[in-house]
This record gives sequence, C-alpha cells and structure tokens, in this order.
Amino acid sequence: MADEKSKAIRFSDGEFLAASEGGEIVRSSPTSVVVVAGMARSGKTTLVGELYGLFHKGPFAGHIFAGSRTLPGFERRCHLARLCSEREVPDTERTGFGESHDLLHLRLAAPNGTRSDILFSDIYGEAFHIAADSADECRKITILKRANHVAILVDGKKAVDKPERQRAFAGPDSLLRQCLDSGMLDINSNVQIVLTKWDLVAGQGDAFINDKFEWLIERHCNRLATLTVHKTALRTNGPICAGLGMDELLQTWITVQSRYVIPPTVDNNLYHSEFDRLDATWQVALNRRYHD
Amino acid sequence: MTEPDDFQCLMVGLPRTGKTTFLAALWHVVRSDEVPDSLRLDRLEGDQEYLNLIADQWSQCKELDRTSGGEIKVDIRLRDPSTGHLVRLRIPDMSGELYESLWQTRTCLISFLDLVNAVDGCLLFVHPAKIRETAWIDEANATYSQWQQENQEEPKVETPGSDAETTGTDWEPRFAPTQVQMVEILQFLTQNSVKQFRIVVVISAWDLVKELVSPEQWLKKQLPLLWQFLTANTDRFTVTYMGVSAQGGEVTGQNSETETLLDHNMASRRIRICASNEEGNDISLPIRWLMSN
Ligand SMILES: Nc1nc2c(ncn2[C@@H]2O[C@H](COP(=O)(O)OP(=O)(O)OP(=O)(O)O)[C@@H](O)[C@H]2O)c(=O)[nH]1
Ligand SMILES: Nc1nc2c(ncn2[C@@H]2O[C@H](COP(=O)(O)OP(=O)(O)OP(=O)(O)O)[C@@H](O)[C@H]2O)c(=O)[nH]1
Ligand SMILES: [Mg+2]
Ligand SMILES: [Mg+2]
Repeated sequence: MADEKSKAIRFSDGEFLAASEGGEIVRSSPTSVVVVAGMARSGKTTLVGELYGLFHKGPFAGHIFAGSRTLPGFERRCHLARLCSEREVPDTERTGFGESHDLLHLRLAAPNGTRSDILFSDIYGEAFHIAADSADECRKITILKRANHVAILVDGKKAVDKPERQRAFAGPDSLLRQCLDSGMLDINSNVQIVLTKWDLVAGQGDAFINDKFEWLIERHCNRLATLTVHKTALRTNGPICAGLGMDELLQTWITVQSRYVIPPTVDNNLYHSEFDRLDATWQVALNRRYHD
Repeated sequence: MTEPDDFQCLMVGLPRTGKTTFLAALWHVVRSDEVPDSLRLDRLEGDQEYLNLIADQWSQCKELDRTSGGEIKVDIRLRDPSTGHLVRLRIPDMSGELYESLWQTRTCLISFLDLVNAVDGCLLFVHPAKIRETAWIDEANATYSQWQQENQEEPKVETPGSDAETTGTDWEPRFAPTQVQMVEILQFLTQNSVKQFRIVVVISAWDLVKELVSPEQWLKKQLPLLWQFLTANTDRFTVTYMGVSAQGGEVTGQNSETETLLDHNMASRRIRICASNEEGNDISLPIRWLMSN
C-alpha cells in the first residue's frame, strides 16, 4: 500500500495534441480547427505562437485566456523571440517534418463567459510547396478537410521585394487552386489570405499588395463559403506593435466553429497513412461538420 | 466533547514564495490571542516541534529555511471565536520544489494527488520579487532604442526579421514565465477532479508593493495570464485576492527593516493583511475565507 502511494504519476508532455486528443476536444466543446498554410518561412509558427503570446500581456480581442493543453509546445515555439534565448533578434525555429501532425490548443473565454477552443495545425512549409504542385500530395494533408478555417499566409517580406513579389502571391494562389481542384476545400470552406510581417512592410508596395488581394478574391471567392484578406504583424518594430491585425483574424476564427458532436465510426479501409490511422475517428466526426 | 471537523488546506507556490513564513506567522497569531477576531488555538494536539521552530525564527525576524523533501505534516486544532466552531486545520508545509518539478518534470507522487483530492481550500502564493516575466526580445530592443534616443546616442544598426541562423540557448522548461508555470500547475491540480476549488491568491511580501492598487489589480497587471485563467474558469474556481505581509517588511539585505519590526510590543502588529474590503493584522483571514461558505 505504502508502495502504491510513493509511485509517480506522469502528466502528458504538453508539447502537442495528437489528432485523437484534438478529436476529444472537438466532440466535447465548440471548437475552431484552424489550418495555417503557407510556404516555408512565411510565418506560420510565429503567427500561432505569438497569438498565444499576446495573452501574456492581458485580454486580447475581447477574449481572455482560459487554458491550454499545450503550454510547453507554445513556450518552445516562442523561445527564440524571448530574452532567455540570449538572441539579439527574434526568430522562430523551423518546423520539422516530424512535427507536422501536431496540434496546438488554446482555450479562450468571451466576456459573457462562453468558452471557445481553438486547435491550430503547425505544418512545415515544404508540405505546402509539394501540395501546390500535386493533387495527390495535397490530399495527404487530410486535416484540410476537417478545418473550419484555412489561413493561407503570404510572406510580407517577400511581397515588397521586387524579384520575389510575384512568387510571394503565385505560391498561395496555386496552393488554393490545388486545394479546391483536389476537393480538399469546397464551397463550405472558410479561407483567409494573410499577409504576414506587416511590421517590415507598412507603407511599401500598398498598391501592388491590394491589387494582388483583389486578384485572389476574384479568382477564388465563388468556390468558397468565405474568402477574406488580412494583414498581420507578430513582431514589434518601430511604430508597429506585435498583434496588429490579429484581433480581426481571431474574431473570424471564433465565429465559425464545429458545433455538433457526432459519435465516430471508423472504416478501416479508408486509411492512407499512419497519420490517417491516428485520427480517423476525428475525421469521421468532422467530415460531417456544420456551419452557423 | 465534540470532535472538530477536518479542513484540508493546500499551500501552492513555487520556491521562496512565502509559504513557510505565512505558516509561522499564523501559528504565532492563533496561539498568542493578540488579534481580536482571529482564529484561536483550541488546544494543543499532536506534535508542534516544527511550528514552534519556524515561529521562533519568525519572532526574531529571521528568514526561514527552505522547505525540502515534499511536505511537512501540520495539523492545528482551532476555534472560531465568533461562532464557537471547532475545526482541525490540516495545512502541510509544502516545498516549492515540489511545484517546480511538477512543471519541469511533469510528474508527481500518487500521494500528492490523494492530498489534492481531499482539498477543501487552496492558498496560492505569489511573491512580487520572485516573478519571471514574459520578456520579448523585440520589446527589449524597442525600450533600448528609445532610451538611446532620449540619451542621444547613436542607435545600433538592427536587422529585424532576418532569417539569421538559429543560435543562442536551447529552450528549457525553467525558462517559462511564472504565470505559465502557475497556470499549468492549476491545470494539473484540477485535471482529475470535478469539484469547485476555493482559492485565496496570497500575494506575499505585500510590503514590497508600493503602488496603491488592490491585490487583484496587482495580479491582473503583473501576472495577466494567471489572472485571466482564474477569471475565465469560474465554474472551477471561486477566488479571492489578498496581499499578505507576514514579516511586515524586509528581513534580509540592505533594506532590512528588522530593527523597526522588532520594536513592536505585540509581534502580530508587524503583520499586514490587505483584502478587498478590510485591512488588519489577522493572518487567519485567508483561512477563515476558505472555511466560509
Ligand atoms: N518582422 C517579422 N518577422 C516575422 C513575422 N512573422 C514571422 N517572422 C519571421 O519569419 C521567419 C519565419 O517564421 P516562421 O514562423 O518560422 O515561419 P514558418 O512558416 O513556420 O516556417 P516553416 O516552419 O519553416 O515552414 C522567422 O525568422 C520569424 O521570426 C512578423 O510578423 N514580423
Ligand atoms: N519583504 C518581505 N519578505 C518576505 C515576507 N514573507 C516572506 N518573505 C521572504 O520571502 C522568501 C521566501 O519565504 P519562505 O516563507 O521561506 O518561502 P517558501 O514558500 O516557504 O519557500 P520554499 O520552502 O522554498 O518553497 C524569504 O526570503 C522571506 O524572507 C514578507 O512579509 N515581506
Ligand atoms: Mg513553422
Ligand atoms: Mg517553505
């Protein structure tokens, strides 16, 4: 008996949620599943990590922080932007291939007390380069089908760099096109085009950026439920403070959620990969999601 | 003779946050009868060696030793003078290292979880001078260049957002800000339980807080993530905030106020409690709040 009591218990490591754990959350409370897509180094991990970081300073976007099951995962991702990393310039570590099925979890509460869970993907950039080139590869990013929101990032730094700026928009355009043509996104999907690193961009190339935004909307809006454009800064730089544009984006994510809890049934023949195997239960629940 | 009800209290706090000092001052107050409305010692029961030891050190205005090795059992049989109610307060002195390792190693003993399951109320300790803040590089850089401008120095050339090679120190759990560690500890404590937790957030060494703010306002400003977490989960937590100066002032270092603190004829007059609607010397107030319905 005394032996039993002196045994140690281990809590989950909190680095990420496996898809099955994400499924539990989706089934038990109003949840937004947000896939953050974009080319390598476009700012995906920073967007998610520093959104969590904004709550370290206080309530944000009319919401307060109500918990997270992945605190170490967030802290690790924010590390290179913190003084304890002993760096002089903030950075974010590149997401590894192995981390690409990880989900990060944030729970927020509105002033009236209602809580929302948000699950974020943190997929490495190369996966989207490959997906933009091939329908088969695109279909491997199965979480796209379960997403309530897909944020496609445009690297702001490249958008104002003459040799790079066409590619900065062409990449996200072909990715979106591929997702639609391969059936991973459809008329029920909500997509946000997000120009990142606004703190490095402000005041430059506005006309070009706005033209490109309009071009993207014209090309794709008829095939989606919603397509909106946003500009964000997640670093403080001169007059621009980290968090700019995130208020609006967060509101967008919170307003459309999975609201129905459906008991899962699993068909074993549907598995394509180990990842699918892991989260097949969740997929079934979410394939039948409803919108407001 | 009536048997007292048991009341299990859990002191939660990272290392050096004032748990033992609180307990020492509490022991002084309940047995000295110096504070009119405080809980009183009903009669001695069991072993008081540890309490007498820490209360002795406290009465000399000494800094108390770190508590090591998990927990030290403390039971005190108390009477509430206003109601006559008898209660056996079970308030083990907890080592801050236990909570630190809860965050760093994400393990704890089953016996600790049993204690958590039996808890009737929590004291959550925060020490104003022991806070690791969330510190961003870009904010520090911004402050630095503003300072340079004001002092008319040449600003150094910055290359913000450069995809510089990742160098510097690798992440370790101990780097996490205090507020993150505290939130995770509370998530662990409540994870396997459905009950409502009554919590007094004790801001210890309240004498160090010079601004004119309420303890809740102070926490909201200094540890916003923890404050939001407690506020957002009212279905799990019933919370109140108190500033507690158990020593009454600094007892070590250059700013030591030991001389003046020792001047008090009644040692309990050193103590200061600041609750939302009352102030005084009654350090049993947090316990009385936990016991009230
Ligand atoms: N100035 C500035 N830099 C940013 C911002 N967002 C991201 N960055 C920087 O852009 C670089 C890439 O950011 P990441 O978040 O790692 O990009 P990612 O899309 O996750 O990259 P992969 O994981 O490699 O695909 C890092 O050096 C970040 O510090 C921003 O809003 N402003
Ligand atoms: N200024 C001031 N300092 C205090 C007060 N109470 C405690 N301290 C200081 O806070 C520090 C920690 O006090 P302890 O009571 O030993 O803390 P603890 O939480 O028991 O620490 P562990 O046993 O290591 O977990 C010591 O340096 C105390 O002197 C106070 O009222 N005022
Ligand atoms: Mg990344
Ligand atoms: Mg101690």
